[in-house]
Amino acid sequence: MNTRVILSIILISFGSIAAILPKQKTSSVQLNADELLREIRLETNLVSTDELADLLINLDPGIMLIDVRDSIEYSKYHLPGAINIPLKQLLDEKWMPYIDQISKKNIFYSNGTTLSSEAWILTRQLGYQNNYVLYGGLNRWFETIIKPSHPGSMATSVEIEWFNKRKAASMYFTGSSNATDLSSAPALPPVPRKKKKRVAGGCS
Amino acid sequence: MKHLNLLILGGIVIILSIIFGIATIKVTGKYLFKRSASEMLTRVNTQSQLLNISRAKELVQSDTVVFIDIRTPKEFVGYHIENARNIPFDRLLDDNYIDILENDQMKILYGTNSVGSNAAWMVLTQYGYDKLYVLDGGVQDWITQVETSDIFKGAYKSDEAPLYNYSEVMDPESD
Repeated sequence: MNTRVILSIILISFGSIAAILPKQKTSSVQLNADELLREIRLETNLVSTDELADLLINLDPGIMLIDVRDSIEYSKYHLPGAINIPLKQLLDEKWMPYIDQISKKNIFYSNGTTLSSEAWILTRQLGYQNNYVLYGGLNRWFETIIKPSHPGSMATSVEIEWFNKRKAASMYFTGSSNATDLSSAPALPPVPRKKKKRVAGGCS
Repeated sequence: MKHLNLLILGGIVIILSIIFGIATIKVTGKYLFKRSASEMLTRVNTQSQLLNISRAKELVQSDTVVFIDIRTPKEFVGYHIENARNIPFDRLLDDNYIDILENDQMKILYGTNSVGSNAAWMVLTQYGYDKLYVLDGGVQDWITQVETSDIFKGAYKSDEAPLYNYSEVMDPESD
């Protein structure tokens, strides 16, 4: 009997101490500078333009594109479905549900890779997960996906295949820019094999 | 019987204490961030860490400036900016380089392009170091702008400068 009383008192006291302790954020595990350095080195946070094209063509519902440029640049042009969180406002309370969450894969992008990486490093410093960076940003997106250049006559079959894939993606994205509903556009197969497309891209 | 009860009780107390200890432990030890994310954001917003090539070129002979090459030792041996010191990216926080980083002079970080060196700038600044700058464009642009003859010089573009008129490319018929 006595033992039970003591046990209850111990449990209650531990419980009340735990309740008094400051509330910690659920999903975020703080990391230190050395761990952050290692994460950057591993480059697992980078999404290539080809990967992004696949995700968008397959209408992947698990991604959220976040344009970290200012609102003027965003209103001139932004990737399909992207929301705008200017880097200056990144840590504003209203954006926390977007950048500190575990349900979607956020992809930050800017014109290059500087601003988007800065945004990512800041979220990582806070321990937020599920944020990624579009490597090369819009510049690389246009260079590789929207206006892919033919690898030339000396290209290997792998390079040609990449080019064809990008050319198909380009048709998908530029064609659908006139259509009102992106989701109604037919999704092209990831690796088209029709020779017709190779010719079409030859002298663009 | 009483003895057993005490043993169980003792065991429970010890286990609870361990769980409690683990739950409340904070990130401790070395490499803690010394600047908060909001302090960092204020610095990031000015983008004043980015130093363009022509400004960096003026500083290359200066005694009060040190260039820090964050590429691998192999790349560093292959080519590096005059008088630069090599601190490979993954060893930025090693003890052997504290002297260079704690030095009060102006420190210019550079890599192949400015993406890695800007990340290095972020981490080192979060970690508390000051007077750090980033060579915008990195070695790639340094070589084309400084080392090659005028004929081969391309126009210098910052990483964040748009290379296309995006909306124009996507919809050529508008305006």
